[in-house]
Amino acid sequence: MELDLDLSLSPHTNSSHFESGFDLNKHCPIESVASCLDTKHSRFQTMLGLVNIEEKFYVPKLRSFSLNSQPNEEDEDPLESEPSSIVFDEEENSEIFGQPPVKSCMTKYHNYRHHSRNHPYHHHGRRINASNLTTTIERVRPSSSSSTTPSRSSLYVKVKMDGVAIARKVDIKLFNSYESLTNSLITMFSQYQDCDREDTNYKFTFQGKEGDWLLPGDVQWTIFAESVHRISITRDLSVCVYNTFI
Amino acid sequence: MDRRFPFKVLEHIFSFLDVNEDRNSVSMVCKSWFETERRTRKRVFVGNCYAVSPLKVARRFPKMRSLTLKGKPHFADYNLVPDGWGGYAWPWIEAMAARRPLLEEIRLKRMVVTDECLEKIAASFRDFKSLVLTSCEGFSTDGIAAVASTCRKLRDLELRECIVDDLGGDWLTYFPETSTSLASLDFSCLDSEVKLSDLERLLSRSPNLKSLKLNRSVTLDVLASLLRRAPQLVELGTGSFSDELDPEEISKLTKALSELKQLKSLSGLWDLLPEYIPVLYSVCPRLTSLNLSYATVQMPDLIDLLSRCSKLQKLWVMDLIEDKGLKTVALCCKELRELRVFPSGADLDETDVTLTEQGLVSVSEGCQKLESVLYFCVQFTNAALVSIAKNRPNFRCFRLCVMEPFAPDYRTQQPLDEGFKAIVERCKDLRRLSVSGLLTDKAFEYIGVHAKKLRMLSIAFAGDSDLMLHHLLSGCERLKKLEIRDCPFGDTALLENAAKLETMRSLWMSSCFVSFGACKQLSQKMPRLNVEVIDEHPPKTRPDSSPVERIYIYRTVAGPRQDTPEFVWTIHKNPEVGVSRLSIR
Repeated sequence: MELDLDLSLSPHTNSSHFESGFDLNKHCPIESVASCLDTKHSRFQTMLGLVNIEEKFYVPKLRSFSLNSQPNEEDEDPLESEPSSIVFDEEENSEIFGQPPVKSCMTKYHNYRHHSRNHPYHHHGRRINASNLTTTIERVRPSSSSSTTPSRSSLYVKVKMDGVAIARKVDIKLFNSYESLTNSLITMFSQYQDCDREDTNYKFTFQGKEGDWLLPGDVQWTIFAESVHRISITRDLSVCVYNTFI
Repeated sequence: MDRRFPFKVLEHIFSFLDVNEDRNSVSMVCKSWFETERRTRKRVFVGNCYAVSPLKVARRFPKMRSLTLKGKPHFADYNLVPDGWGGYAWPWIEAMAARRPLLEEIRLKRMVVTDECLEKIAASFRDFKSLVLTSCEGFSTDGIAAVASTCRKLRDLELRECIVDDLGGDWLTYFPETSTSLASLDFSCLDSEVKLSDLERLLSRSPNLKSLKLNRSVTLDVLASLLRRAPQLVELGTGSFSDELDPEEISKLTKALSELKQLKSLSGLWDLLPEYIPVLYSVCPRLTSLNLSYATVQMPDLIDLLSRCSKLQKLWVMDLIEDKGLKTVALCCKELRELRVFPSGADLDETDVTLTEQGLVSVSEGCQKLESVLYFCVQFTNAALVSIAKNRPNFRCFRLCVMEPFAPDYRTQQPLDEGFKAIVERCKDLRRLSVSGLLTDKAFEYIGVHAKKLRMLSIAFAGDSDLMLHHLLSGCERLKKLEIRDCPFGDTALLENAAKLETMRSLWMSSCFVSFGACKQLSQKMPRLNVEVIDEHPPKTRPDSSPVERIYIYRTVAGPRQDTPEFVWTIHKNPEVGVSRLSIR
């Protein structure tokens, strides 16, 4: 039975994908398919940002992204529970529903572990790490910033405050300026400390990928947001102390 | 001349058939074979509870003693199926209660079971022996209590990874007072505490108990006392393994464990502390199955444990085992048949956990009998997959989950096509496959060409076009279950291969490019398929080109189901109707 369908039925399909003229209906034999596939392959690589992309190139939108609420349910971190302070659109969201495919009883257990203070694996339960930028693939979204290089969909960075035993983690991508970042960090930590945020003098230092320490404003925010590795906060009137980390 | 075998002879011959696939084949030979077979089948398996009506099944198999049913699609395990989708056990229980009162065993997977169902089971089947619920939900401990108290011949009561409304530990006291016939009890998924005295008394009056799986709230300090009352255990799932014990308690526990001379399987071990590993030494040499999914110990401790488990056949562990630990497994566990390595979520930043593709390569080299793998890993290489395939052509189940979607071979930046090609080419008996990482249509061409025995395939974030699906549907002859998420194709391949779908149990596609029009066409073309659209955010109008969120297509002789919730639409066979929403339960 002959089927005569237009390949671009769905609004999500862009006809430029199929420029090679490949049409399944024509049942092309495997050998000639190979050349079509090669074109597709390189196109696919382009899509993923392995090659420089043009601004208008359409990327199939990965749908059904939603905040996996499990880590947040028990999380007291105001950064993650206040949508008003979050600056993102759906495409910046890094949590893919149901990924990795682990059963809920196990996820439940891991979330319990990650949120119990004394446990050695205390962190926010996110697997994404900041250090392997060269080896992981980034998903490309239509970029609204001036940068043409594909940016990470989120960048979790450790934040250690002087005198606080347990480090926290924040997603730098949720912010758009040093001020918003520092304000939120202060809010977050002051919830757990008895200090009055008005009285305390906070000093922020940021460690970049190469290990150099920077102060807020030393580099442009956009560059900072791609390369920051760790954040250290010291309090009170003492001079900045550069903490060492393992 | 009458060439037919006398019924009694046929019946006797068929009594030797216990594999249902064989029985299915036999029943298709001719009418008299069909009749003979159906009258002798005792264990009935229905892989999709909506494929056939309960009444038909009850009528067809008068000697039914065991019923196994599966409900929701597999991806429901990863929260891809919204709550309320369906899979209700009630119509089945009701039908069997009325027609097959001699039913002894009910096994349900991914179904909604209510207390009403459990009470009905308790009230209707006088010889009821075995209730095994896996990944089920909808009931409370009250329902369990009803089964415990009324089913006097109860042998197995297993709640595996169920979501239970846990009203407290009282249900344990409902078992018969004098003695029980319990052989297997699994309440590991329950949250609440059971009273130690209740549990001790139960164990004391259950001489046949061979398998006991406790829940996490059973603390370590009481374990010794429990084990002393059940030294005949073959399978043990402990409770929490992290409570503080004084030296005397430790020594008592060590002794109690060493008394379990028949113990073959060990699980539970929640939050296992390294200092308690020596306590387990005595059971290790006999163990054939070890589940360390909740044992949060590090690699050196895991090595300490696993190097003593020379008879191990099944190992479930977290990625805390690292490559080095898996190397030990490869050296010491020569009987290994099944390996599952789960992600612990440990922070890679802290470089605590180095589990790479090398771990799986080592195991594939060292463990000759390895045939089933589930491996979560951050990244992989083609070279590793090729080695693994060369080493282990006897894989029957190969599930690799490279956790980052679209991750290519991290050394060459190429897609993992060639790696999976090696797997399907060499592993001729492969029945189940999950692929991941960066994959183009080529990977699926290879799968279509080589994976001739493949029954179940899971795909996420892969492929380039409809060609991918076309390769699979036209190539994999034995394909029964296909589940796909987030892949860029849909209509063309589906419609081209519509007939194939009737040879399969089910097809799940979510976040792909399937249009409403294609769903309609498919449904009209294939009368014996239910084409169900799941749409939690349905559009106001549905033009043919509009995409659907999720579709679930399955063959059925029962027609469209009557219990769809508001977010599920069955596409009507009548082109004018479009979609039908039949009565909602």
